[in-house]
Amino acid sequence: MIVFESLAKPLLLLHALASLALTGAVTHNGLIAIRQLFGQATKTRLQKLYVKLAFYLYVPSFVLGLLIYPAFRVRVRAAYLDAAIPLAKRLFEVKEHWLAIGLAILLVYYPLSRVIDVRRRDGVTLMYNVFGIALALIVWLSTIVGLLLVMQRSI
Amino acid sequence: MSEQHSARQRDERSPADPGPIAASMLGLTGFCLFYVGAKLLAIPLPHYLPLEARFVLSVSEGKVSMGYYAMIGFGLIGMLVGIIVGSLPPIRRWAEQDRSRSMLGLLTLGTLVLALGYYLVVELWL
Repeated sequence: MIVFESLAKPLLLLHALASLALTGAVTHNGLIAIRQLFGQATKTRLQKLYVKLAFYLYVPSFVLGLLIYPAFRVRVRAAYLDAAIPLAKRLFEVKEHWLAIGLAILLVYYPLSRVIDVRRRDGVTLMYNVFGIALALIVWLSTIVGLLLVMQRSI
Repeated sequence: MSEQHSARQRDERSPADPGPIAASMLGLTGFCLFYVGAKLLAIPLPHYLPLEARFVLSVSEGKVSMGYYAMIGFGLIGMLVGIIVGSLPPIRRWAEQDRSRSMLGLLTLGTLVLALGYYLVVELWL
């Protein structure tokens, strides 16, 4: 018996909904980070809200992904993708690794957003803004790959 | 201008506490190094067998297994190590200087790019 297999579809739906909202939050935050990278330290309070939202959406979405992963690994990846579409399997691996790194980014990005002064121009603020842009890229890549995989075969 | 607004402005412009910043940076650096190191050095981590619903230390050929959970756990251990190192008083004192903080930021950035690039290249091309 595969753990959480009977709940896989509703969990996948929740995972997709959380990811959709997350994509919105990190995109807004990423756009503000791009402006800040070029010296426009605007919308700092709004940015803190987006980072907070991203944190509270990313973590549940990630955990939901972990819960449905065993069912996906057996019923979709091993049963179909590995042999039929090797590129999809490889893209999925990139998505998973990047999401794990994205989680690590967010675990430091969220607390950092509460103490950092984005008006300072140093390596820390540079890195802070790159974190925001990297998170947006990671989530966009993951959302697109996730949708492409579901189009091929779902749990 | 209200007193509350002035206080908020002062708060926003005050330099950030170097302690959490150093701990955060080194935490992320630790995660990236451990997460990449796990694959690069083929560190023997537990694998989850989804069909048997249990963790094993070695996987026999042909079995469906998942090493992802253990890799995340290993990465989080790296993050914890980084946070502890970043919280040490000498590191906190060192991070008070602007130059040190910039160096720390660039080190973290380099490690992050390395980790993302490594998995992109390894999974797609190797």
